[in-house]
Amino acid sequence: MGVVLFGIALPPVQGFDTGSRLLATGGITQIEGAAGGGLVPWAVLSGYGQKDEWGGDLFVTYARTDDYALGAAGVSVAFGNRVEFSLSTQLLDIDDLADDLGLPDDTLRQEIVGVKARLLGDLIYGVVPQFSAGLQYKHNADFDVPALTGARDDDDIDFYLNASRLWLSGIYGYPVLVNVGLRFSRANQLGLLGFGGDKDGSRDTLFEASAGILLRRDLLLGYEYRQKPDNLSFAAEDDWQDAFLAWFPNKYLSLTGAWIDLGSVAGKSGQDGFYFSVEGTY
Amino acid sequence: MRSSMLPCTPLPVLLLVVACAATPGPGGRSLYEDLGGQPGVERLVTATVRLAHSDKRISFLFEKMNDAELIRQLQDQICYLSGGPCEYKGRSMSEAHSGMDINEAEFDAFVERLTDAMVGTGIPHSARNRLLSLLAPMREEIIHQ
Ligand code: HEM
Repeated sequence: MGVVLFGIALPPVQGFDTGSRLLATGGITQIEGAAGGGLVPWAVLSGYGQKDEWGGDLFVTYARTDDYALGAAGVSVAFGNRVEFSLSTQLLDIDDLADDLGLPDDTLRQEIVGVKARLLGDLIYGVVPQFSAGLQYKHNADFDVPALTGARDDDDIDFYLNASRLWLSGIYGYPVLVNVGLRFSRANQLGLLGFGGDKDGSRDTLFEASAGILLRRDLLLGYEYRQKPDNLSFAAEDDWQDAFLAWFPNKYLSLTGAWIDLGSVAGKSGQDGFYFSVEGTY
Repeated sequence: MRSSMLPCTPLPVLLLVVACAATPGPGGRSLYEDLGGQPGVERLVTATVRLAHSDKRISFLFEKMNDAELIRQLQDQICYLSGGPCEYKGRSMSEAHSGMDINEAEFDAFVERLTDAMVGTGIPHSARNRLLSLLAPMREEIIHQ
């Protein structure tokens, strides 16, 4: 695994094979631990495991906006290109907000356990796009602040459905990826501000989508959009979007940079900034 | 659910463009030309077969092969598919691969080696993907035969 973490320029290692699926088809890891883009899961499973193979990845992500910083890290494993399990943790730095409002915590942490299953189809082959369904169980470990803002629960489950397709011929031979999904969630700011709220306690059906183009075999330029619930009356929650560039120097590593626009977060408007993610695949 | 979505997101636009994208490349040249014509296709096919022999995931399938014959057939097929002046006279894909029981992983391994061969012989990214998009639909007739 040392190779994965430090081997930016190292070629594939003898005797240490990833799965057979093609470069970049494992995506990167989204902020909640599932294979996808940065914010939105894709229907693909992590790593490069094909039928009868297994694989997965490790990721570290750092995102920074005007008033917040978010760190996330996790691990996933997928079996037989059929089912993916993931574990991840997120730490949100709310220093500015905590100072302004005199809050009891200046960081918020949550843990996420995810499962995703490929239902049918394939990202590239055949006529049916790849469809997957997943869930993310989230537990907020610093619930004092969310409780003050009117959140109802410190844990909950998001359910989601995704369809993904990569058209090889794409635009003039530049392959195009399109991904659309629905999420059923009551998570406030991913769950970092708890689940449900004084304004709305039940799950919403939320739209998520991403599209990208493979500029080179190893370079994916994309855009993502993620609808968000709006459960807390103290501050409106905006939809999120980002534009990203992911580089896959080999099947063991990916590096992603993004510009993110999170809108207004917990009363602080204009939260745009950058996102950087490093991922090792096995 | 406050929305900061722009009035027209890139997503539907991309979908439309994809739906309209035809096979010819930017300059309206045939794929065959972008592959480098007959010499280009020959270099590509020769390199692919050589790389297939060196990939331990699939080399066993090529061991007993008559390479010259395979190269000739593949060359005709790719020439024909890419719009070149050739005719493919070999067997159907399901016949050619019958009894091999090629699985999904082996298919991807072959595509990976084919891609390496295209990179190695200097075929540009867009031409590589246009060729792959012509071969991908054959997968169902090649695997598990
Ligand atoms: C898009 C993918 C593929 C195409 C277009 C293709 C095309 C061909 C063609 C044209 C032939 C010659 C048929 C003939 O002589 O009549 C052939 C034979 C063969 N192919 Fe493929 N092939 C593909 C994938 C594969 C894969 C994935 C493998 C193995 C991993 C493979 C292994 C072989 C072997 C071993 C033969 C020789 C069979 C024989 O003559 O007994 N092919 N293929």
